[in-house]
Amino acid sequence: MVPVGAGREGRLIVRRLMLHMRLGAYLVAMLSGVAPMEARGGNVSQEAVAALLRQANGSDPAARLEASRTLFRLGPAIAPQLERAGARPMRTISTSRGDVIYTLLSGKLGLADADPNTFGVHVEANTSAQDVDRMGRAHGFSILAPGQCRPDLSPACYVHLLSGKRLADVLRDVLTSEPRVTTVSLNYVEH
Amino acid sequence: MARMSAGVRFPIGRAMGLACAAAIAFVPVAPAGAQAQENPPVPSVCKLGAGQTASTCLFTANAAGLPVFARTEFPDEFDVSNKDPLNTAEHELFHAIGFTIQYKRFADKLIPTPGAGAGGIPAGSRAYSKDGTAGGILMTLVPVADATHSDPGATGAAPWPATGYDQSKDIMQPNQVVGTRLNANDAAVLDDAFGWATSGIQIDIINVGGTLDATDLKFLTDAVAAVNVFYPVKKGSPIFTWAVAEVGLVPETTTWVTMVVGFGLAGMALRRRARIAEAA
Repeated sequence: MVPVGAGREGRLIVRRLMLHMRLGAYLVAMLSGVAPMEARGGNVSQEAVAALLRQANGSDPAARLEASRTLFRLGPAIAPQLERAGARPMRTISTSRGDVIYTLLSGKLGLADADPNTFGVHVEANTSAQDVDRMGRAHGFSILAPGQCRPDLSPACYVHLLSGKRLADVLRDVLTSEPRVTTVSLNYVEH
Repeated sequence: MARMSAGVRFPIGRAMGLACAAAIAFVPVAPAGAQAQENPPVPSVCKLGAGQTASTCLFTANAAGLPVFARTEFPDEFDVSNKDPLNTAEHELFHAIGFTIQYKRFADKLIPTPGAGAGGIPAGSRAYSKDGTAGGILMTLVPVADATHSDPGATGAAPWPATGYDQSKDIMQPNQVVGTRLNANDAAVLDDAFGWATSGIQIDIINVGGTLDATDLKFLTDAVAAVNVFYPVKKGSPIFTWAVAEVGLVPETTTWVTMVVGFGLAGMALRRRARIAEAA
């Protein structure tokens, strides 16, 4: 027999414990940028999303990187807002960073006319092939033809994914951690 | 006759069995022969699949948006297997130097084809227009799902936009039409996008691997010459690097299954025939 008072107290403890666990889970999810992104995305104003998109497409590397991180953290729920702000599915080898983010968040990464194992990296003017090589070691790709890596070209280099790497994941990693990368593009194919 | 059949029965049957085993054990093999060993086909990065005549990718532009580099892959021994290698070479080179929606200066000139979705014009059809109007249309293209190709159905007369150009024999249509070559209508499109007729274009071919031989390369240099008829090389012409390769194709699983089953059935038939002959 459990005393009534103890039962109530027990239930209270369990309820508090569950509340703490829920808060903890939410905190973990927020920090790791995984779960309730949709809920957070819904709370962001159209103006804020448009401003983030402008920053992501801007020329300031630090602001570009931070805006990209924030947009990815807000998650797929903001895809319609990005679209209203002018973002479009990525196309051409001169696609904007904002369009790539929109494409990844909206799940519209179409690879019917592109190679899923290679992509193009667009970089700041002072970036060398060695820098791109270092990025590749960090994110899981290698330069396809090092001799043809030039920062003034669009894209500067085509790179090849290392075994086991997924294109969408690597594109997101690069856009949220490499300030010298201005944007990325797909390796489109014509027959 | 029966003796002869009995004599060759075992080696042929065994050979079929060995062929089956080899096919199963060594699926992605390079073609046999000394030349293939010395100069093996390179892996494809342009998604060149079985049955395709060629594939172009790695499109690269300079700061002004002019094409400067692309790579074209051909299947092994394309000069032998292709019904019209020069047609394919010209088609792919034209993609490489600009006939693709992947170059922004080309893509920016596309408009929805007037009347698309009705009168036999496919829904989603696009046209290349030099000024964004129906009157400025230089070429009618297929919908985006078929990549960047001219529409062979476009007659240049109603209900199609009135360009006066019958595209049924255009070289840039999706499927190869043997005997077709680049013409002034094709050239006008890329001249509008990139100014190639004014600046000229110097195309340097680099062989990046595989089994391209002198005969193959002759088709490729002839394709360059065909482009230079419309866009002659001038002093200071922009340089375009055309990387070319013959790549090894890994047949699809269904192809291998069909082949292995075929070998097996052929072996069984030979054994059966020999057995019947022996009994007779």
